[in-house]
Amino acid sequence: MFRPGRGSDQSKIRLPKQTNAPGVKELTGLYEQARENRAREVELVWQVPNSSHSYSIHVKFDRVTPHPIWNIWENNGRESKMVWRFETSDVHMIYDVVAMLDVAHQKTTGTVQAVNSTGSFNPSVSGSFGTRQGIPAMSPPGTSISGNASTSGNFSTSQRAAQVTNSGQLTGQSFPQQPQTGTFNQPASSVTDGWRTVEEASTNQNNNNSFQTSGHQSPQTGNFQSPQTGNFQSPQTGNFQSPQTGSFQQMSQSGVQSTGMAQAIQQAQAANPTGNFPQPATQPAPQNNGFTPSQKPAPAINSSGAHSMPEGTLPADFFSEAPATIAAAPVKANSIEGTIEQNPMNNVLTTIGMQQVTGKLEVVGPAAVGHVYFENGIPKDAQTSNNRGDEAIKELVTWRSGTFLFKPGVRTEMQSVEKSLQSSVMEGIALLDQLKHLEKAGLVYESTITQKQKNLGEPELKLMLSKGVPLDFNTQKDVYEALKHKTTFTDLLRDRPMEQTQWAPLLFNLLYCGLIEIKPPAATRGGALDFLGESKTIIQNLAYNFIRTDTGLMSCEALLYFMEYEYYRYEAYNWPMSLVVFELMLKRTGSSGIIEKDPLPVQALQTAAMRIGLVKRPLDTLAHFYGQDFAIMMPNTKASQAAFVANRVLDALTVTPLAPGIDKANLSLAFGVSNLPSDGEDLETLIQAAVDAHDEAKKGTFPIVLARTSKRD
Amino acid sequence: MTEETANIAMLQIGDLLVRSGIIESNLLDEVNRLAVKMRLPIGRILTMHGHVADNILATAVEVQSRIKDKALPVEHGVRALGLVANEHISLDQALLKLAPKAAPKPVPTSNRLGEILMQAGYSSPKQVEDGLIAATETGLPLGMVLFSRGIISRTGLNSALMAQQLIRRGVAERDKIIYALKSARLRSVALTQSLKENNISTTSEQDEFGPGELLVMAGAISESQLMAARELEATESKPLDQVMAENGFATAICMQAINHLLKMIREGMLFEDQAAQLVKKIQFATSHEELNLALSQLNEMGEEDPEEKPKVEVTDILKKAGLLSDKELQIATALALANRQPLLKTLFDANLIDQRVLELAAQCKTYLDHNLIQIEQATIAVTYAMENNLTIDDTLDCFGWSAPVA
Repeated sequence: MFRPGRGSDQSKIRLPKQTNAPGVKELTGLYEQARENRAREVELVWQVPNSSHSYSIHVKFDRVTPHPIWNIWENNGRESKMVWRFETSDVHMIYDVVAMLDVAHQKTTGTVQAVNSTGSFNPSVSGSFGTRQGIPAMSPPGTSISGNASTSGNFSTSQRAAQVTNSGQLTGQSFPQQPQTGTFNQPASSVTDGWRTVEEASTNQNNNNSFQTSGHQSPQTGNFQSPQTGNFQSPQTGNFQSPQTGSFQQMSQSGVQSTGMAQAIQQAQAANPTGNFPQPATQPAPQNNGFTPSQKPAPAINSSGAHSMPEGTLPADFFSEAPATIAAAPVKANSIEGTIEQNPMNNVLTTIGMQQVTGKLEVVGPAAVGHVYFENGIPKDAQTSNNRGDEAIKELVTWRSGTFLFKPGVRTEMQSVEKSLQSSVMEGIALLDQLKHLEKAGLVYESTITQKQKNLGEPELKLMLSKGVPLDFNTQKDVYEALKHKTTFTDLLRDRPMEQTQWAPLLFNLLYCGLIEIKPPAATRGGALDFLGESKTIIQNLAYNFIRTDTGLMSCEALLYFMEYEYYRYEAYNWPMSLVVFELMLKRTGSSGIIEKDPLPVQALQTAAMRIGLVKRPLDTLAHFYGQDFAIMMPNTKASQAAFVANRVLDALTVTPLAPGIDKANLSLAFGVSNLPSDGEDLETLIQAAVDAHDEAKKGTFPIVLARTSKRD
Repeated sequence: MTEETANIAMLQIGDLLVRSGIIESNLLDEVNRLAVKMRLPIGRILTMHGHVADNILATAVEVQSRIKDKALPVEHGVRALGLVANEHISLDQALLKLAPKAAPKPVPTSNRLGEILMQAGYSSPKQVEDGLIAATETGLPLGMVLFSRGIISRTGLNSALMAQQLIRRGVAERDKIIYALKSARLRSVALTQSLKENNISTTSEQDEFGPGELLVMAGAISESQLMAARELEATESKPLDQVMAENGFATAICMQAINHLLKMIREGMLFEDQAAQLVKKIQFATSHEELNLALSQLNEMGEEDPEEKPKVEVTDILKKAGLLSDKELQIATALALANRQPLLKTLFDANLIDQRVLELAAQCKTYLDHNLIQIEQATIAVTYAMENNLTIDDTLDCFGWSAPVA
């Protein structure tokens, strides 16, 4: 049915067709069944209520991989297409995707998905809020993306929403008060709020205060009073506030729907399952308070929110490494702000999209900042430090910590977003999952990535990659080839710069197609000779022979000894090497008025050595040089880089006194920098060039001189 | 600086540990010798050899910071440290035990540079902790240690110091300033811009041309030195003039004169570059006679400078940077004369230099002509810019050589 042209698979296990999207329980059952029947595909089909659309989800474990492949197909009555394919054992993520599909479907078709099992529709409920169905699953309990809905007195049906379904029959008039009786087939106790039963919702509510409302009135269209759960009041502006959770508090005219709102409705309905909500006795019907069709679309509604979804929700910390905390983000009037740890970015983006507000969402993540401009809930321009447009939204969804702030009314002329918000968010979620898998596999920047199987031919590679996420084969092949030798993740990114949105799916694919291995970074480097144990001391004692006991610095002879080895490396591998010769003396005016120079006291010299130690690399060697001078040998360093280090040394030695009375004013510093191959061909010329430059620096106006003798006559 | 203040400033971790009875003085001497020999900080040797536990060393660093912050008397700190080591309690508990009636005042650590750097994401707690120990050992301020280790950039440190000043002055809520600082870091923009975007108005004091800027312009100090002075100004609560004098950047008399010169600049009696020329001459003046002599030369400065300093040509920079030999220059000069075309064009046509090198050298020449850099700096800048594919401005910025405003 869903895959035309493909023969019926005898080995397929088909579960009974459902009229509702599967919940966690069903998906878990699906998963378990597939696991027990490896190599057999398990299929579940469900119909989108009141439409010709249906979806099917297929899950199959192959004989070796630890995670099953999930495929989701969509059938619009004429043709089938695959909408999603992924390899994961994370049922919650699949559940999330199913929920997203449902919402995406509503958005694209504009139909109202009848929510309870009979498809009955309660216009008074939906009309009064004028909102579209939220994505309850995207707002886990405890998250504070909730609590703001506005009502209007006047609903126009000229909007894209509110189209009628077979059961709902919502047409273009202001919603009349239509107290419904018995439209809910399920008893109050079993009415679900989309993802959980009301009991669960209210229990959760009581437990975590995630949704406590102060009241709501919808003067024209009905007033909900739920003594058990609280009133909902929207005096004139229809502003709904969730002061305790309240991370999202929107301007009243923006008209908001959120999961919290959906829950609230559920609670109200649970309290009054007949749908007979008392009319506001004291509130006069307000004037049209500004919700004109152009300003306030009245989109598709899910009045009861009863998606007939089974119980179970995404864990609150699904998108975050942080524990599931209930605490709400700080509330500010007329603003949406909070932390990503508490409000995952996909929730934030989706909620803003559903609220149809205009403004700028600013996000400060752990390593970058980003923003998204919305026009009536549709993203217009998005940017992060690395990406722009749709890719930026995808990236934002992967951020797991940071803060966000929505600035209403801020607009831009820039247009960079092309895809729908839902689509980008879905891709972002997939990317996030890939990242999490890679993290679980131990990927950090220092990790070593190696090919798991050497000498794979192109056909074999193609075959192995075919079970992964469809990506450009050549790119995958190139990256795979680059991992031929032991490579760290940092090396890979240095040699082939890629954004996170590029490397995550690539590495994920290679990893889960069994092509690469991620190995932990080499343990903190102790001594390379640690394996010798006690015997190491004897060798270490040799090193003391290199040190001058009076200063604790390496002797000139030792420096020359090591320079010889470095020179051989230069000869063998053409690695450049640099030498900085410098003077570090104490100036004083002699009796005859002439400036005289003395060696530094040992204490000051030791402080100076420690400061130089902060600046130089561990593999650079600081040592005494001829006479009273000092030198730093820098392997594999260009002349200009050596000059840079010399400048840093100069700063480090002079920013504060080395010892009382030994400061910039009376320190004599002069640096000569030379380099191989720039300044000669052997050690002798290298040293001579450095000494000459050093002498020049002593006489010149600036204390650092680069030899650069190659073209000097 | 009083003797007590000086003692506090020089207070070492080792002294604290000895005075609190955690280690013996002879052990400290031995460790000191070893530290010299092994070129390792004393703290590391103490922990490596098991003389002191990591947490005790960290507490000692904290006690030292509090003493330096004048939040804790030395004796009190020493006793508290002893209690921490002997009774395995926290520092706050120890302080409470020592003065149960008067609970210790909360230490205002929130405005410490390390705290700000961590919160703005410039460095990790571990880096700051290690930096504090290295700062103790080397006598460098924490910011300079982190800068020297390449953990933060010059711009980052400057921004953090500015944020610290703004918090201290109560210009806006701390969180807002930290947010702006973090935003500036992540977007690589100036803190002032980020503050502006977050509706935090800073007074013009920050942008004012002050004594530090004048000293940098004169080439008397480097940007790093000014940055360190600013950090010390903030951490030790001393006026900048005093810090400058104490660090040997200029004499106290010179600093007085600089303030006078700045006043003259503000009144339109003197240009900044004239003042900078003057500062060069009086940087280490120790008497008013020297000052007066320099000031008396004020009117002659404009006339004598061109004579004093030989004009540097682009070819000189190229020669110094090893990009052009004398022989090549001679041939090119002869060709240029024969063909009646500019020398640089001849060099370019002969493929002796390329367009980029020419541009780099020309820009350096401009700065040299304005006495903003020295020929040695120009040589290094051209080489560095070439080898690292940077502009001259970026290179000068990297080196902290006051990238001039073009």
